[in-house]
Amino acid sequence: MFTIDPRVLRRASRDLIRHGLDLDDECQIPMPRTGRSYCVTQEGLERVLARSATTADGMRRLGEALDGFVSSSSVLDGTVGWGFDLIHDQELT
Amino acid sequence: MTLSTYFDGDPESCWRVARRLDGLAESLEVTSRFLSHQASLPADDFEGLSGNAYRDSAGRLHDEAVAGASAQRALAAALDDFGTDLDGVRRVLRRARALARDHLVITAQEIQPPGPYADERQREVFRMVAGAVREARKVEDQAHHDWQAALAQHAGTRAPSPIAGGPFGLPMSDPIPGPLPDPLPEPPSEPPSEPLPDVPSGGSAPAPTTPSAVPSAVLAAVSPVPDDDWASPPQDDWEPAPPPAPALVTWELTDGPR
Repeated sequence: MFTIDPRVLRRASRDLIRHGLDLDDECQIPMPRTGRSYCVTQEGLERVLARSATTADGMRRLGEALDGFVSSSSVLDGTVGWGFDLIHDQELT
Repeated sequence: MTLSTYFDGDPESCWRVARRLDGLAESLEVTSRFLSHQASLPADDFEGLSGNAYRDSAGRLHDEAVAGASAQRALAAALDDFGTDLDGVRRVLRRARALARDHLVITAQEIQPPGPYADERQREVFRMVAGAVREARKVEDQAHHDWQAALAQHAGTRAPSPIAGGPFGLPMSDPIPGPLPDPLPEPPSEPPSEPLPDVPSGGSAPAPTTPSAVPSAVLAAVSPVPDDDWASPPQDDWEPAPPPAPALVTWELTDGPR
């Protein structure tokens, strides 16, 4: 048994997805023209930006997973409740 | 020797990207605060094994976001400084060109040294401009070094080479990353062989692969020229050709010294 607050978790999942998408957009940064340091600049900045993009992607996935979990929990809760109601009705009859 | 005032780079683009990195770092900090809250979500809101897994995932993402924000803040500051240094170098080079334009000859971005008929004023201007350009190049080298060091520290790129300090201003060799390897064992003593003749760098002698093949291969390539073979060049012709005559500088011939 576990308890969840679907309202809180749905909001959290939405925020996670939104933060992830925003971060992903902000990671699109052009390379500066640094002269003879251009190659190492490109390598370094791409690494750092890729790490941020990975974080953004992780947030989006976590948000989607949380949303899926909350949705399936509600379905599960409804199914179990319907089963209990059915058993209760059969006992009465 | 001509004095190059060529400038490579764009300080404005460095500043722009530095601001973008700063903005991204700020977003990551906001995100990390949100993730920190999610990592400590109360059990009343999310209980059970799934809740624990969710909090763990949020905690890991929080750590990643904090590390990313820190690296990007540092890189933004370093890139901003780099752009400022490049801007200073560019200004010095521009002023050097402007000063030289009134007294010396400039071709493209090269300041020509004063010729033999130049007056003392021209020589003094050239000395002054050369000193300024030399100092600007030092600042430029230091700026590139510092920026690359920041990238190595915060992005994990290769550490930069030491700044030029070798003889004649040449860059010094890269530091050896690890301990020195053991010295090679001494070769077994062999009877002294005859010294091999010199082979020009552009010669057709193949690189020997085994010690036993060395004498035959090289000697075959430099076999003596027969006396009656006038078409073949003698070995003395392998010496480098004399340097070409210096190109005429038109301003010295037509207009004379300014």
